Amino acid sequence: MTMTTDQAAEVPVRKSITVKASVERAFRVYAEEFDTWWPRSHHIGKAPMKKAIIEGRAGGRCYTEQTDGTDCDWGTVLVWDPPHRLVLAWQIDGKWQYEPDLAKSSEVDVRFTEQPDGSTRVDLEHRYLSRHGADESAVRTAIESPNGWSGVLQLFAERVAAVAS
Amino acid sequence: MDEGPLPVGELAREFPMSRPAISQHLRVLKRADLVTDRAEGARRVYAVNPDAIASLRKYFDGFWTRALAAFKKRAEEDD
Repeated sequence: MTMTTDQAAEVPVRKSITVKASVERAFRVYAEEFDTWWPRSHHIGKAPMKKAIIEGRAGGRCYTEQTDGTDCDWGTVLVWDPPHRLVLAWQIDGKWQYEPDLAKSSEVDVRFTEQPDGSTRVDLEHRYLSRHGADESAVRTAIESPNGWSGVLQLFAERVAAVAS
Repeated sequence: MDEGPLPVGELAREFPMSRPAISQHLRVLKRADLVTDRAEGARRVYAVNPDAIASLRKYFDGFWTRALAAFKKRAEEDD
C-alpha cells in the first residue's frame, strides 16, 4: 500500500475563542506569560517541567526548563508580531523527541483580533500535521520500538489509555 | 507494511520480535485506529489506516480545546 497524502491530512486543526481582555493583554499572556497557562503535563523533558518559555522574537526558541536543570527545546518562533500574531513551529516527532528539521514540523498560527466590545478573538490554526509523518513510517516505528509503546503511540497516549481502561 | 497489507507472519520475520508480540502490538495499533485488519483465508492481514492523520488531528483538537480554555481563564484573571 502506498500512502498518498490524505485529504484530511491537510485540513488544519482550527480553534477560536473570545477572551475578555484587550489584544495586548491576550498576546502578552499567551506568549510572554506562556508558563502561566500551558498544561504542566505537556513537555518532552525527562524530568518534570519547571517553566515553559517562548522567546519573544522571530527565530526565538520555545523550550521548557526542567527540574533537573536541563532545557528542552520543542519549537521555534516563526512569526513574532505583537499583539496580533504568533506562529510557532511544533518540533516534536513521533517519538516525543525534538525535531530539528522545520520541514518535518507542524505550525501553530495564532491570531489576536480586537472585537468592538474590547474583547479579543483568538483564532488558532495547527497546520501541516502530515509533516509529522503519522503514516506508515510512524506505524513501523511503533512496531519496531522495544516496548511497543513508544513512537506514534505516545502521541496518542491519552486516546490509547482511554481505550485500554 | 508500507509496501502493502501484510500478514502477521511476514511482519514477524521483518521485525526482531516474536509473532505473539507483534500481534499484541498490532491489536494496540488497531484500537488506536492506526492500522486496519481483515481476514484473508485463515490469516489476518494488517494495513496502515489512511485515517491515522485524522487521529492525530483528533488528538490536537482535544488538546487545543483544553489548552485554550486554560489560556482564556488566565487571560481573564485580574492583572
